[in-house]
Amino acid sequence: MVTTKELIQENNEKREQLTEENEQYYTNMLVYIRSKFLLSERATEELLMEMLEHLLEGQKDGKSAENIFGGDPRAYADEVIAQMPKEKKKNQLLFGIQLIFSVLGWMVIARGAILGVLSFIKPVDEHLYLASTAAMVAAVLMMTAVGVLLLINVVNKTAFEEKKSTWKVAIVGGVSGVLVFGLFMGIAFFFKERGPAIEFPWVASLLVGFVMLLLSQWIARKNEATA
Amino acid sequence: MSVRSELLKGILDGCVLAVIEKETVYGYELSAKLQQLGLDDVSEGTIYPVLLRLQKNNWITGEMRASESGPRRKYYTLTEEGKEALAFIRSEWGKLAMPVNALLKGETDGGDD
Repeated sequence: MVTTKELIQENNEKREQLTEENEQYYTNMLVYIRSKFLLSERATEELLMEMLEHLLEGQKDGKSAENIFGGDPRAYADEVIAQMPKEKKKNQLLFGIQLIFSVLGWMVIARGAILGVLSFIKPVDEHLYLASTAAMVAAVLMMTAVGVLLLINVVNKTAFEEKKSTWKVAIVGGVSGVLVFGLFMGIAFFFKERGPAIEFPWVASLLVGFVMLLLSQWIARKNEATA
Repeated sequence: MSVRSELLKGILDGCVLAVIEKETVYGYELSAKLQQLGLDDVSEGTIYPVLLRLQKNNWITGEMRASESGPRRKYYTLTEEGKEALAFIRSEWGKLAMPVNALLKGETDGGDD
C-alpha cells in the first residue's frame, strides 16, 4: 500500500500539471484542509489526491476547478472537513511526544555544541542546575506549542486571501521572535544556577541530544505505520 | 440553489450507493455516471462529502490504487451494511415517490418546468 509520505510527494509532482488558475484554487484548498491538524493525516492526503486526480481529469475536458468544486472554495472545504475522520487519539499523543523529543533533542545538542566550542577558549561550567533547567525546558516547550498553534491559525485564516500580506506576517513573526528570545535570555539570566546541580559534560550533552532525535524519528516512523 | 438540487440532496446518498452497487467506481467515474443519468445539476465536487459520509457510516469502503495508466484512484465498494442501507433507502423512496407523484401529477397542468 502507498504510504502517506508517498502520497504527499506524488501530490507535489502532479500539482505541476494544473493550469495556473486551477493550481491557485486547488493549493488554497489544500493548505486550508491540511491546516486542520486534528484530522486523520491519511484520510486528508487520500482525499487531496482524489480531488487532484479529479481536477486533472476534468481539466482535460476543459473544466475549471470552479466548475467542479463550486464558486466558494472555503464553504466547500468546510463541508468536506465536517465529514472527515479525526486522527486517532493515540497518534495525536505520539505526535506530541515526537515533537517534544525533537525540540528537547535540538536544545540539548545546542547546549553541548556551545559549551564544547567555549571549552576550547575558557573553562566552562558543565553543571546542569535542575530548577533553572526545568524553567527553561518549560518555557521552550510552551513557546514552541504557542508558536506552532499560532502559525497554523494564521495559515488557516489566510488560506483563501487573494493577496497574501506576507510582510504583515513577517513583522509579527519577527517581533514575536525577538520577544521569545528575550524571554529565554531573561530566564537564563534571572534563573541562573538554581536548584541542585549535576555534572553533565558537553560531550554527554551532544550524545543525549542525538539519541533524543533518533528516538523522535523512531516514534515518527512508528506513528506513520499505525496511522 | 435550484429546487431540483434541493430535492436531490436528501436522496443523493441513495443514488451514490446505487451506482456503487452496480460496479466499483472511483470519484470521477461516479460523477460522470450521475451526470449521464441526468442528475447533472449537482456540482461534481458534491460527491466527495457524500463519499466521506458513506465511509464513516461503514456503508462503503475505499481503496487507493494506482491504475495502469498512471493516475492514483480510490475505488469504492459497497459493504454488507451498505447493501442493507440501500435496500432500506429504496423501500423508503418507494413509499414517498408514489404518493408524491400521484399528488403532484394531479395538480400540474401546463406548469412551468
